[in-house]
Amino acid sequence: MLISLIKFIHILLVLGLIGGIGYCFMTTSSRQSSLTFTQFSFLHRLLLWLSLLLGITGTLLVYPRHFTFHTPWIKAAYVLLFAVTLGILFLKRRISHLPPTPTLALARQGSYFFIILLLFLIVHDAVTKTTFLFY
Amino acid sequence: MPSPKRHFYFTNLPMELYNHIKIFHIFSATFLLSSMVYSYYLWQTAAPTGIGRIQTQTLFIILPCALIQLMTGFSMISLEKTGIAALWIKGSVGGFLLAMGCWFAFIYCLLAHVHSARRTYYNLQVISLTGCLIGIISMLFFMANKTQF
Repeated sequence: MLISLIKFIHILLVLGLIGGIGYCFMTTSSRQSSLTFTQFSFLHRLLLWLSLLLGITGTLLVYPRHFTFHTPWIKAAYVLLFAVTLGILFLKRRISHLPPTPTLALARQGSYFFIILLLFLIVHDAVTKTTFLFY
Repeated sequence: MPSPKRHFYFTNLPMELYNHIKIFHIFSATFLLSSMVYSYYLWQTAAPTGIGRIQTQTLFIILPCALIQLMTGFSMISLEKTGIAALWIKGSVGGFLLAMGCWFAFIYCLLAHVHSARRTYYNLQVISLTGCLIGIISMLFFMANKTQF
């Protein structure tokens, strides 16, 4: 029952993280941003916590689901999640503080799109149980 | 070239098709839930000016994603060949229908509240959203633990 609950929380966190990043992407893509700097900062902090909790719940699921930490797609998921966390941290610390210019807006959109691609790869690896990163 | 791996409950169909549908199912679910959460945020902060945006979200994101969910979900059920009698399928379909029913009840009460200032409509909106939340949580729980049920 505990494992079922952890998996349920894990899926909720995945949906929350992809939805949050997607929302940031859509907000930066629109001409009139509906979020203030404080709200953006809060959202980034929330996304960082989500990615951290995602890593913890994922780790708790490895052995009960009969996998090991040497499973290629699990190793790839850890690397990609680390890259996602770094990306969010970078956006929070560096890009969010700067004044909005067209080049910076494009850089933000590109960064969010890249993070969405990484999350897509994680979901793809978890569903297909295969990866192109490790053999 | 080795033949593609097959899951234990697959008979003839390759697993790739099932996996692609599943990825599409997950991403449409993400858009659906994000749009619902954003609409809730609009309802909390921008009402009554946000009503138009909630309607737009419902028409162009929530409704198409809900239809995609149904299509991909039933495609996966038919590929799995487990039938719709399994408890987790009944639970998740029931949860989905509850969530969607409550969401459209919420939209109806939201629009009715514009024309009438009665407090009952606001209470009905809260009840509808609570029902929607219960539906989504039960649906996700059943789907996440399908091997247990």
